[in-house]
Amino acid sequence: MNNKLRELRAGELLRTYGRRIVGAGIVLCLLGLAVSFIRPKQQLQTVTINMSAEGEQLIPMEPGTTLSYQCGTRGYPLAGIQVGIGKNGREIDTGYLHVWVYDAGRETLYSESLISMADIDDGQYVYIPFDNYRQCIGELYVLFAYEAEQGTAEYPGIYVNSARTEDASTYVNEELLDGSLKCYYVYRVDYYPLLYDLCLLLFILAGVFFLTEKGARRKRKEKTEDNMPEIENRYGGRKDETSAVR
Amino acid sequence: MRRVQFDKKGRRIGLIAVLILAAAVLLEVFLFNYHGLAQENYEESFALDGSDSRVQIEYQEFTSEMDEQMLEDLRYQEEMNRLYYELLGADYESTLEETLIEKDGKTYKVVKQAVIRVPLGEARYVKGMKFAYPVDESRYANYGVEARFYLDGELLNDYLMYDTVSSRLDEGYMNVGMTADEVELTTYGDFDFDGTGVSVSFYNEFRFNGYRAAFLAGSGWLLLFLCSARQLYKKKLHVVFGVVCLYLGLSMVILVGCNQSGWDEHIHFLHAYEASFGSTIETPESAMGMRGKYSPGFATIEERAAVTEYLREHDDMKTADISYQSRFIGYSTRAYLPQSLFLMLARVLHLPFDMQYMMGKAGNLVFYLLVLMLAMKLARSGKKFIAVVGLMPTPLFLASEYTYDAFITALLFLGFILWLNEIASEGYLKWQNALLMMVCFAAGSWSKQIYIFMIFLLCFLPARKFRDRKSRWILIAACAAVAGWLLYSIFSAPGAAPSIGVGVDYDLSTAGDRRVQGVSMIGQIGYILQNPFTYAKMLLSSMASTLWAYTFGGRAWLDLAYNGMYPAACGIVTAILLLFACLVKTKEEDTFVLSAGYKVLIGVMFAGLAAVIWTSLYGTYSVVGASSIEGVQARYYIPLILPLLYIFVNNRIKFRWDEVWYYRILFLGAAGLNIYGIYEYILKATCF
Repeated sequence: MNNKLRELRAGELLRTYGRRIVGAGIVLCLLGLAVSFIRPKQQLQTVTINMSAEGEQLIPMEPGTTLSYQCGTRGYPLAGIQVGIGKNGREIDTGYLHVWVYDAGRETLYSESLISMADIDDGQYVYIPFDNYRQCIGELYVLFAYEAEQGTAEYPGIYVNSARTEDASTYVNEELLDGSLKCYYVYRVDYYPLLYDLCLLLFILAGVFFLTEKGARRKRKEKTEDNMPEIENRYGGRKDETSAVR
Repeated sequence: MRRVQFDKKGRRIGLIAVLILAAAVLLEVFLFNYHGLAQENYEESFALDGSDSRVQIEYQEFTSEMDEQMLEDLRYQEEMNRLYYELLGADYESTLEETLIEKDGKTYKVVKQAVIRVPLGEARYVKGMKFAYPVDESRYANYGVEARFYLDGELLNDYLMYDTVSSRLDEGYMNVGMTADEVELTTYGDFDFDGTGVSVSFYNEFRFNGYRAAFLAGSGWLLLFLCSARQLYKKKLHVVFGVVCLYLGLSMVILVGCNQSGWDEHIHFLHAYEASFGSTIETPESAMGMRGKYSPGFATIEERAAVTEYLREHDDMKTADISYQSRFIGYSTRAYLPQSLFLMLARVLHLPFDMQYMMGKAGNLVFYLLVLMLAMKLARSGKKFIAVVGLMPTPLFLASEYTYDAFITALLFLGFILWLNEIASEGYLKWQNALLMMVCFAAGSWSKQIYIFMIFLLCFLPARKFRDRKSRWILIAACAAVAGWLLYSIFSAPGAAPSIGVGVDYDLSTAGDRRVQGVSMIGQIGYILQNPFTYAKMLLSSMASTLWAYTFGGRAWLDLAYNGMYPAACGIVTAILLLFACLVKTKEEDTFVLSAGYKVLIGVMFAGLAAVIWTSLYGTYSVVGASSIEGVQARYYIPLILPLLYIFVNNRIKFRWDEVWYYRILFLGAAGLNIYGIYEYILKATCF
């Protein structure tokens, strides 16, 4: 009997406060969606573009040599590129790899970075992040050059291979290379982890919102007041709100 | 007085329980170990490296034609072997390509075999055979041994006795059970057999099999419980279901153990395992083998012990592979959460890997059991349907292995029961009930989105359930939105990061099961649009020809995946049980009889969803323009069967006897089917 009473009481409470509970749920879902859209999460996504070992060779980056890479970003802003730097087993701890990123017409400079050779291991595919990456979308022109310290004769190389990469061309000193730069593209993409669940919950809550009873709380209060003498008789004057369902 | 009666009955049941235990022990000792008790116990070994003069070895070679699928399987296995050796820090020398030859445009595999004759001396009872081989030799991987036993020159086994040898164990066992005086072994491999370190032993022994004895005793107790319960049937049917489901499900979990015998079990385990971690996944070699499907399996109790030892030895977290994932659990992975939770719990308790693996499966079972018990408790009518369907061997097996099917079935059943409660009751639809129904249908469709069409049942609730038209139409719109949202998630994961490397999120031109060549969803859609009548005819004939087998017949209920399938005759039992449950009522029962309109609605929903299942498999599993629909399995119908049963409910046929007997027939029938299946296809095949 106690269980039955408890069930009745819980059912009555859900009926009375249903509109508030569901309404609060809808508001929370909407708030969550708004926050999710305003502050999306980001993740780095590495995409292998050309990493075949076939015809692999090092393009020596002696001072004055430029290696340029013209490519499309596949519809998303490119956050950076990973290229392989080879030192041929030599100690090259000084000097910098200078990287510029332009638009296709080479008119606007999007990003410029200096990568210290001291931070790079022989054969490492080093990540070169682009500044203002949100602008780096569409056709890009990436230029690599080595800046040696004065008095050093050693210089590194950049890995290329004989593969042809779709929508990309590689040039050495402005001459088209019969092959392509070995590289990965790195994207920084937004994602909205709660979007799916909040939308689903929102649909469900919106669907049940009008099943809740409008003015249930008021009706209940009125009913309680109407029944008060009877309740008082039965329960010895107890006046709490929930006693109506006992 | 009542107390005295109870004591009397309790004592009687207790006495029978003790007798059952004694009978199980006696059967184990005197029946299953008869030869171990009555005849000589021995173990005789023979070296197969040529040093044993008693052994004769002859070498043979032949070619075997390979089709694309066989080649793909072989290459997959090679890749798994290579990964395994890489993990161990060793080089793997593949011999596969050397053994393949091309001739007249066909591919053949050269199979080299050694035929070994081993004389046993005098005729003696051989209980089992042990094949030992060096584990560090990668070339012994995938070795096959075929055995023929002879007595006075006459072949005793005209059936195939074959065992594959895993390179990850150092021994393999085969149950024999014959009196023989000579054995002929044929070994298959990709290379010349030199037998270095290899030996074969024959033995007869007394061995008490705890698994078998426990199963016999447990099954006896279960039957005793079903025969002695009375009030539980009348007042708490869900408790009876819970007890039966728990015992039979746990039997499957424990006896199948670490054998991966479920449908795509390694893939489901992978998802459950990954979801059991936060952002850092630690995968020791044991788990790696389970994920990659190269962990050794077992077919005898001795092999089970060897596999258990292997898994425990390779469960070192210090040498585990480390990988990372997002903390956020993807919606298609959530159906694995009960399994993941139990896996996590097992790790926290520091259980050995084999037990962790079983705990994960137990998590699936517990969720299934609790949700179905809740559905039974809440059901205003038709509790017996949930019990009978829920206890059929295939659904129970699905709840006792790594898979999302049990999660789907349980939630869709609960959602349907809540819907039916509304149809059967007066009064307005309560918001909390509608919410729970929608959540059940949505969550039940997370992993198999096509079942979301069941949510449209809410659109057909009678007008009297709503206070006004507005609330009804908004609920209908919400159902459509939920269904649309879930169906959209098949093609693109809402909110997820774009898969830039793949091109687009879901490429219809190549979408389909990767195991089948020539599949293209867009190509298949094009074919259907060009040939609508041909396809409609093929669809309807496929559905009609399988209708009985996939519903009342045995296909949906009697398939234990790679453990085996019950004989066709058992399909009669399932049909009788299901028809008995839905056509016959007890005198006391007030099972709700649906109106003709609702029967038509459920029939249309069943046929529509079945057509969607067949069509989706035609798109994803059948070659473009194929003349038959491939890949549809009867188990896909399981979530639809509960609604189907309500179509047949009527008030005409009444069970004239005590209702307790009515329920006993149902429960004993379902339990009997399971006990037979577990004994025949699981216990006998893996733990004898």
